[in-house]
Amino acid sequence: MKIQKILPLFILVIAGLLLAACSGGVTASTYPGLTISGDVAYIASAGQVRAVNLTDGTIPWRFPADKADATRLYYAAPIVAQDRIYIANYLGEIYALDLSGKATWNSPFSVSKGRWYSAPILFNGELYGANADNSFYAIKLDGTLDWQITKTSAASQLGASIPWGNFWSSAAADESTGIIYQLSLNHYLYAIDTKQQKAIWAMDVGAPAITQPVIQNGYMYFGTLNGDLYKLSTTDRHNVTIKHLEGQIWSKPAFLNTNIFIGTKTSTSAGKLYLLKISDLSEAATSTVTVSPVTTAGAVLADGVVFGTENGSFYKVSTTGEAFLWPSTIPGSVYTDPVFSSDKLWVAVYGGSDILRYFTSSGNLSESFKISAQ
Amino acid sequence: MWDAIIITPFLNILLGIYKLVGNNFGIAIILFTLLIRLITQPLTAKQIKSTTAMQNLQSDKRWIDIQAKYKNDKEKLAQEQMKLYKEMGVSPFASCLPTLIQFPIIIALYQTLIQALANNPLDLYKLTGHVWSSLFGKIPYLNLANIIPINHQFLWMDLGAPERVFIKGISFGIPVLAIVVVVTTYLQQKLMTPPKTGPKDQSSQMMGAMNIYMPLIMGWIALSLQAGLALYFVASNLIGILQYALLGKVHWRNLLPKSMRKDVIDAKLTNPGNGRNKTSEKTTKPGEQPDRK
Repeated sequence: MKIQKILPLFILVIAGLLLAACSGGVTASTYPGLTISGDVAYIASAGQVRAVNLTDGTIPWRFPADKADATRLYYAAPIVAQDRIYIANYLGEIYALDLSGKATWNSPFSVSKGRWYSAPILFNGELYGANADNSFYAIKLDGTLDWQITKTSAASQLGASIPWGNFWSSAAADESTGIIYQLSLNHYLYAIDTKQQKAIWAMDVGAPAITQPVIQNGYMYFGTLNGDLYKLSTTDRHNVTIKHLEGQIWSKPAFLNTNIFIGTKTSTSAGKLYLLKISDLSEAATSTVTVSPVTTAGAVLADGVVFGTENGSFYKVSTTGEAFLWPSTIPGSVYTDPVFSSDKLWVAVYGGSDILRYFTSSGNLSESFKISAQ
Repeated sequence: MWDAIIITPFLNILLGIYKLVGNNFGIAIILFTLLIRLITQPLTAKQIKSTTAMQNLQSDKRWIDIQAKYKNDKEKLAQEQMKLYKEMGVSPFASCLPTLIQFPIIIALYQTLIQALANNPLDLYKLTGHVWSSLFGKIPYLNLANIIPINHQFLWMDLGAPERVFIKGISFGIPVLAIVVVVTTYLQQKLMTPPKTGPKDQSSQMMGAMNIYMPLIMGWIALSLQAGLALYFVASNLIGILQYALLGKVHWRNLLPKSMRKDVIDAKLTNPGNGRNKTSEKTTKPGEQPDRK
């Protein structure tokens, strides 16, 4: 072949590769999902889910076992229930695994078509969750669809003027009423009655919401990207208290004693930590500016709450509102909620050489326990 | 640095257009492409001028003579070619330079689209950090709450995912947009390729190869990446053809089959006054002084 024919092909292939590399491709990655049950951590990241033995750092299994699946991306935190682990992927599938990491005969559950950005929740023996295909699903544990709310059925249940869809977060269930609450990026909070199997009301919260609501003592709490923290009675939805915080709220609130602990992202390089009174959401102490945006929910320790920030720094906020920057920083970024278990704070890391590390309760990063990101 | 100077402004302009056109991301991509094409118009014009100059040079008698004379002495041939370049004020790299300058702009455009399409939580998190709520800290600009969620839907497509059309009875999706990318890229290449000046016209040979590879590679990219990018390719191709047409540099004749093209050339040669495309007339007459416009 003449050079005149090879050269353009060569240039174009290089340009094509460069383009694909620069754009990150269609399957651009996001942060891992982490669930800890007993002495085992389950980490969902890209094309594989792995179990990690927290006592010795061994990896008893990976799913898929041989190599990561480039088409099935797992980022939603695995759901652990008795002898099953449920993992949801970007193809809309849910796999049920046994405790040795083998898929059960009825896997995958393919009732949905869009991405599972966040995990469905396990409630009353069923999986409930909203998928990126704009449907809310109730899925039986044998993998069959129990019922669903589509865009069309939501319009008939809530009214055609109420938007439906853009679900990126997990729902929260109120055990006393059987109502599930689901937030969406399209500024709405939806209440779904599992007994009636339909959406019963929707509320405009004024901004996109990407966090999972938290239900505590008859109230539901959640934040929006406008910085509004909501407190809503689960028995009277008109009983609402809103506290405006500086910045965007990317994580759910944590509770300790009579206070709420929550962090925000105020810019690309800073955040704020707040200590609020549960009773009326007023500030219980002066807020603290952080060196990086607060990206995680707080992990509750006996004497305070620990927050992760984007650049891998961690803060511990005491019950009186004083914030202390922990001495160690994790190499990489932190977006996944840390989990406090067995006196250790377990952290899933994005973009570092290791995917799982832990801090001691005094804030020192263990150098002996490292789970490689590979 | 790259993000702050290029990507963030691009992103905010794109999102500004998106708001302006009523949250229609497809229209925003098309208008944004048009804007970028208008800004880079001087580069495009310069590239056309340089390509034409090179084309004319290769049809010059002296060029043809030295090719024949030094065909066995590559070093001497290169020296003579350089001499001729200098003498006629043509730079062999002048036609490449505008393309090279445009390449980072294209990369930036892709990165902007990818960021704006934010199709996972981390991308969304990063996007929210780049949205300008005000201009120069004074003039209110974009309200994050009104931007998110970005409406990815345009016609039948989800711009955040590779496009496929599913037809009943067919088990796989048809990549309609990728096919349109291939066709429009081929058309653009074909219409912009100047006619051959002779059998040894190197640039024509190269362009001939480009005409085949380019549509295929663009089609492959459109097939595997977000439909938003494919829409950008289509808009860019069509606007490119329009730009060349306005500059009078579109070679419509290239769309005709080869045999018919030859008939047209022959007819023009026998009746040169009727030809509309002066470049092609000149290129069919080796030895004539090149057009230095």
